[in-house]
Amino acid sequence: MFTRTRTLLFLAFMVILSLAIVSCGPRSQSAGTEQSITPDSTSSITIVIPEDPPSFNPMVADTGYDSLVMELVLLGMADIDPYGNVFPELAAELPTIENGGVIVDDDAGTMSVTWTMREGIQWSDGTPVTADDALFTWEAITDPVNGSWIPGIDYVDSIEKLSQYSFVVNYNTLYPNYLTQLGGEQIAIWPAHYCDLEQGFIAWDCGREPLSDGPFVLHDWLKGDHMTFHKNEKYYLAPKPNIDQVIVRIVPDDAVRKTMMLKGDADIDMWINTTVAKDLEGSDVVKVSMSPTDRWLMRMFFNLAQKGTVDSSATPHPILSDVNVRKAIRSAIDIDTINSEIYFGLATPVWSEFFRPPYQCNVPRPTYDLEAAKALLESSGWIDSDDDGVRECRGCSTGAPEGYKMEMEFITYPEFGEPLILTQQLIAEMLSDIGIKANISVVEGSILWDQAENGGIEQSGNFDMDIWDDGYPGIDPTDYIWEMYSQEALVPGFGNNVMRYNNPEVDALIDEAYTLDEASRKETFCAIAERLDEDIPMIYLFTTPNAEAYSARIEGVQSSVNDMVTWNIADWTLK
Amino acid sequence: MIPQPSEFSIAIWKRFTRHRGAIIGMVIISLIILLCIFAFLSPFNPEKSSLAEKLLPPSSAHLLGTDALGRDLLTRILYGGRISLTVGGIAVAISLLIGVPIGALAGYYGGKVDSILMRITDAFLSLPSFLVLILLAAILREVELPIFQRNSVLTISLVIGALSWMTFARLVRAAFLTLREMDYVSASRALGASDRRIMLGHILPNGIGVVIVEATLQLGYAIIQEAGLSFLNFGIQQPTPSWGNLIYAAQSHFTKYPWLAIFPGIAIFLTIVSVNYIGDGLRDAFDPYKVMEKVGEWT
Repeated sequence: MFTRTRTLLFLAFMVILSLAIVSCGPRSQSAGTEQSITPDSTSSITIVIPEDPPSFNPMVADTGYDSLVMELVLLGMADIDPYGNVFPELAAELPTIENGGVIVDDDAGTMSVTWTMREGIQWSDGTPVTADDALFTWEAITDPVNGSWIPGIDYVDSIEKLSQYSFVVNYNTLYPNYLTQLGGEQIAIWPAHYCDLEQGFIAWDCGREPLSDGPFVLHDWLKGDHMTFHKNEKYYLAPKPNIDQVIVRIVPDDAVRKTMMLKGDADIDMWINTTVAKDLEGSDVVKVSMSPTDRWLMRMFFNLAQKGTVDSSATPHPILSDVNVRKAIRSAIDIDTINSEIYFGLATPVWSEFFRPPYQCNVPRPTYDLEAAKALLESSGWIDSDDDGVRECRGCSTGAPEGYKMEMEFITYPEFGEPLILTQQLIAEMLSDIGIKANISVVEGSILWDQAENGGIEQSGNFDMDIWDDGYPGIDPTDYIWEMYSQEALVPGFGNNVMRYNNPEVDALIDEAYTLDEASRKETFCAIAERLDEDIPMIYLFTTPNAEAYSARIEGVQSSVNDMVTWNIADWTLK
Repeated sequence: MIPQPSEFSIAIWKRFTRHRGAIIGMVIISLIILLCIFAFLSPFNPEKSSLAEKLLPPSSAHLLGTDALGRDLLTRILYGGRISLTVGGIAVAISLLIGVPIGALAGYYGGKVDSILMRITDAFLSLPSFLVLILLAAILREVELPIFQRNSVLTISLVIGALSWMTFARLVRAAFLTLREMDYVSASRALGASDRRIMLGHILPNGIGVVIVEATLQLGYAIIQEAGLSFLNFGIQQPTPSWGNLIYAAQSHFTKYPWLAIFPGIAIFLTIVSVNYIGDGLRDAFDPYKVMEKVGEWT
């Protein structure tokens, strides 16, 4: 009897699950916490995000939600606006060769950058923000035991304090991304008198209970529920911010977040997907802000090494190590159909890593051609001799045994939402049309991208193909290109070259990109783009718009691929 | 006098047919199984997209509408039923394979064997089953053994079955504890029958009724667990349909296209209610007092 009751209870659970949970509204989520976080004035906004930020330090986990809240309370030396312009925050001005802030030693191939900080900026406890804080932050990052890694860290020889409000960074090479090395969306300057260096940069308590020099001060944080921020009265741009209070609420379900926006229970929904953006079209109460440029490039990664291995030279992939196979796959994917049918035409087809300003390369767009794809596979020794719809190796050049089936796993991650899940299914179907069987698998991003020692699928080489979106932060792709394509970065844990792509010519070009000569950099990047177009270690598909939904009562919201939507929250006003 | 097997079976069947709910359940579940078996007669491919027909409401062309890739929902529900029912069947089989021997050994031998086996059973019963299911499914889907491909039907069935055998073990143990003291068992023992023969040949057939009843209930339970796992994206992966992942895929469309969730939900609902009523009918039918009363041989 007990079992039957239990079964019936489960039945009730499933029915409710299928018919109610999928449609549950925001009221059910908010009921329990309504009293504790009800805005206490009209000058309050609510931001909804799906999960708690791990901390205020994006270097810990880089989920984006950490950067979102970091922008509320902490400043870097400089930041980047949505149009790619770098602007000073703690810095009094941006150091350049022209103003003497950057001194290049051409003979030695080194440079030094002098930062001068604004005077008068205070932490929320009244302590001035000085060069000591910048040096302390660098010391914490580079701590051999408790430190972390940031782009360009290896290129810094030393940092020296010049005065209370100035310091110099000495580079052992020419480093073009120097302006945002201590700023941007990921790095903030931390208070030396407040953070405990012994706890370490990643683990220190001030990463969760930060002292503020930004526009807001953390008031309370109820994990899994909400965070409340109050206006920082000591903000250096006072009387900004124009809003008294910001509430960040944790609402995991995107349908609930959308409903909250439409009902006026939320003001900002970060990183909405195209389905939600389409649903919000025409709404009077909710607007959608799209970044002027795209960053998130949907890519299909190929593992050029045999599944479960990480050396594409010693153990090449039995199917994907043949460039003609990769070319055939590229020809078989109808990107325009995917865009129109799944992304409502809001995506932008892209076929090069260098697709956005200031580095755009004129690589010819590959054509969608099923017959050409089939012919390529035939000529490469992949033939469906048993007529079961899946090709086999019949004289293929990859070292696969005769009769080896063209069947591979094809992974994506669920956090992106339904559009990517549907994209994955459509691509699998398109591959099926040319005789490649792609077995679909959906794995959480945390497992897909984790380190090899933790079982990370990509880093350990335990995949054939996968699809997800990525793009370089800021405006300088140099470090990103190195991490993604250089030979040094194919070692697990030392980069993101999970394709195990190895081309010495590209390695040499990447080295050449570390220069301050912009004309030369553009030329180099386009040369890299051409090599990648020939080698096809991955397929570039399309960019999806970086979009945020915001309440029509807020003015000044501007989505940015270079930072989180809160990058200019101090300027927002309420109607 | 004990009734002959044929009389016994007939009595059980008659008793079962008196349970109206069980008969209706039998008809519905038979219909669902038949429809699932003959799903290949559908003119639509359950995994092939038809983008021009995406998200169509129910119509004469697509009786239950289409999904976000234009696939016929009825076809996908029927093919999904194959998966869900298969998972349920395999999971119950695994549960039986684990639970019945454990219960039989514990009940027949008693003493320390009983204590050890029942404590193991208690330990498994104390686990929060659904959370452990999710954990196991998450771990096993990374296993690269050929028969345990990520999220395969067998993997999901194994996970569910491995956490559902305890009820069988307890029921069989209870039956063995009672039946081992019966005269015919003592007679068998006196005639020199081996323990194995006594357990398999004499006790188990007489205690099989409760096992069958429980198996029907566990079948429904396993289907729900598969649906739950798939709903949480730990189960069968798209484009292969299962009732659970069909509901999972319907989440983001529920307000605009509710049929995507409602129809698979109804399929689960009808199956579970039917299976439960069949189990109910079987319980009544196997009740020895009622059977004997009907046959009129109880002395």
